[in-house]
Amino acid sequence: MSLKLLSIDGSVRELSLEDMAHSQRLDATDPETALVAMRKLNLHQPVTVTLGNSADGRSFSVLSQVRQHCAQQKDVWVTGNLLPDQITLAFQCGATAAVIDAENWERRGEFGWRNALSPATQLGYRAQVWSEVGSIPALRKTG
Amino acid sequence: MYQYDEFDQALVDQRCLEFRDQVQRRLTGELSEDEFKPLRLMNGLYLQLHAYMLRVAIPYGVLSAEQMNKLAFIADKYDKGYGHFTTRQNIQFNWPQLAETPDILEALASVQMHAIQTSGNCIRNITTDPFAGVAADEEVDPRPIAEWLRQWSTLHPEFRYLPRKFKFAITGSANDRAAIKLHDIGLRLKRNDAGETVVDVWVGGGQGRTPKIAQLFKPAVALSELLPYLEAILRVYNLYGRRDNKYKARIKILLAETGLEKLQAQVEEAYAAINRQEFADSLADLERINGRFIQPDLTESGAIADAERPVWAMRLNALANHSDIAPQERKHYTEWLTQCVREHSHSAHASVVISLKKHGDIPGDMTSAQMRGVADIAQSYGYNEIRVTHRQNLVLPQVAIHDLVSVWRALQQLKLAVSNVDLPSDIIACPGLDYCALATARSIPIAQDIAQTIEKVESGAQGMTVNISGCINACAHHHVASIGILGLDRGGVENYQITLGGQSDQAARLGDRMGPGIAADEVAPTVERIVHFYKQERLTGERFNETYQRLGKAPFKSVIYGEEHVAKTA
Ligand code: SF4
Repeated sequence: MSLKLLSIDGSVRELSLEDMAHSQRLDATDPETALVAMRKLNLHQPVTVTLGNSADGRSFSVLSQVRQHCAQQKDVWVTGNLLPDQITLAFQCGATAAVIDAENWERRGEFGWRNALSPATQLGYRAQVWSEVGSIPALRKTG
Repeated sequence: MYQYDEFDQALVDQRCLEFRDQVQRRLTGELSEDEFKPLRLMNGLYLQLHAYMLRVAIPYGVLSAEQMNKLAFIADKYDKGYGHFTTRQNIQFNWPQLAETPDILEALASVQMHAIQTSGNCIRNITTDPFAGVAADEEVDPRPIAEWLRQWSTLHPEFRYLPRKFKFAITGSANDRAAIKLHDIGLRLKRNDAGETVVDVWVGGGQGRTPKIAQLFKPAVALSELLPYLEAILRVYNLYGRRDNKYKARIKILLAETGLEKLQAQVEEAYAAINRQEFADSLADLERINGRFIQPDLTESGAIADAERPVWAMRLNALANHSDIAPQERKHYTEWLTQCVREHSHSAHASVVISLKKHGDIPGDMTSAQMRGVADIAQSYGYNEIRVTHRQNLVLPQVAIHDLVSVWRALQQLKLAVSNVDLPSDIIACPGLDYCALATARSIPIAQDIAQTIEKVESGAQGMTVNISGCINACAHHHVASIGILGLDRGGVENYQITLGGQSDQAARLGDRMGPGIAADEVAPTVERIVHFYKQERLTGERFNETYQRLGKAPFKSVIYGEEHVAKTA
């Protein structure tokens, strides 16, 4: 199955399963296990967090804590059966890229996915978008 | 009131664009109804019994005259010429077309309004005391803190899909007019010995099928710690609140199942782990927000020195003898002053409550003409400001004492000089079976019937509340009314359960269920008998709940069901 990697800077590239193998995995649909596993992560390796369905907000609390725990780690990816509106939130909670399977990518179209991380969409009082330089506080106002 | 800055405006403008795109994707079929549902709910758009319903946020119940005029415009252009004010100090439009909702949001954004987070499983509109900033008994003005929390909670990426909706209420007075103990989180602002603002955090109140009074979770939280502490509570709730059963998903159930001490410990742990750096600017943000509150410059003319200020009741007596009031008008004017005018912290001013409960009308409904009329009054006499109360009325928070007669006359023209505020016909009623897809019985016609029936007997029953919900979800707060009425469906027939003795203030208490439900046509006469019995039995100055507590359930059951029925079932 081919995979796309949509990064916070808007770039898109093909991703191999091998790429994914280098990333440590956390399953946010089981938060208790995920949060215990988080403490054992190698902070120098990328992390991929599997998000639950779009209405399962636990994923965002797990992701926020992973981001805080791995503050120095550039690559925190998300995967799962994603929707564009959901990855907007994932980026605001600290993800740096989303792993999207080809079928899903086609269904929403490139515009839909890229739009999910346009600066306008990312506006929010508590939004914090991560890049190589860490969080970009210009997008946050309160908190 | 708070004035948006560029960022606030950009945010609501952006949301309009985003929602327009989402509606377009729904209309073309790109989004299924299942996919669209959480997105529309984030923008206050429900699918009701007959049509879509749009709920517009009125943050902490504060409106400008310009905003009220815009609501009137929306009511005329996109609805049927009226709107409905709710217990969360919001307004609902019951007949918008899906394709037009982006236009409505744009109209709202043009006057610094939106519908963000008025539905869905997120942090909802934050409510507060409708007399905030003007009440004579206030310790801390809650509005800037409510705005601070509004900004913190608006589009908070971590808390957009909570287990269930989440409601905050805030008060800065010992007399709680915001029902903080009936909310997921209730905040009581006070001053500590050093004169600093601190916050008592109450958690786990709520109504619905498992009503609970909130528990004091953490006293005297410093303002510098408030946002991270609230973030910790929400994080624990988001992670561990139940998602398997929507009726058990509120934080009150998490608190009941986990236990107070254990939940407090979990929150403390989450709080300790929060990166405080993220909140480093939070007090500066509060300062900035404070600076964007435009306070009216209340004229000193007519002010009375505190030492010489007469008690309010005496003052009202004096005001009733105004020379512009004709003898034949005096009775009505005096009733209006007594029921609808409240003491203000500034002695040359008063607050005016506008009842939206004219006997026989739909509680909380207002026509576009009335909206425009109230906006005009606010512009002429009310420093441009209007508040919405959780009892579904409006307040002009500051009116110069010497303008009261003019305001009364203007309200009379609008059929809004209704002198029943805090009387039993000041009923909270939910939409019930007339609009709501979840309803099991009608509320509105029952409320109309009650109000008309008790009009002649309610005088003097001050503070006696009647709330009526059309199903167990208790949107009309029937658990905390002096007389609570819950409409149910018993084998296809409407049946109404009565509770007595509830209250939502600082001494919040759930009402006691009296016994089996009664038929729809029995409700109004039963309420009338209860009001009558209370007035007959009360001691001097006694409120309904005091009389009820003193006499106990038994005599009231006899009033409801008759002596014979009670004897038979005893
Ligand atoms: S109490 Fe029930 S009927 Fe009334 S508005 Fe709420 S959900 Fe609808």
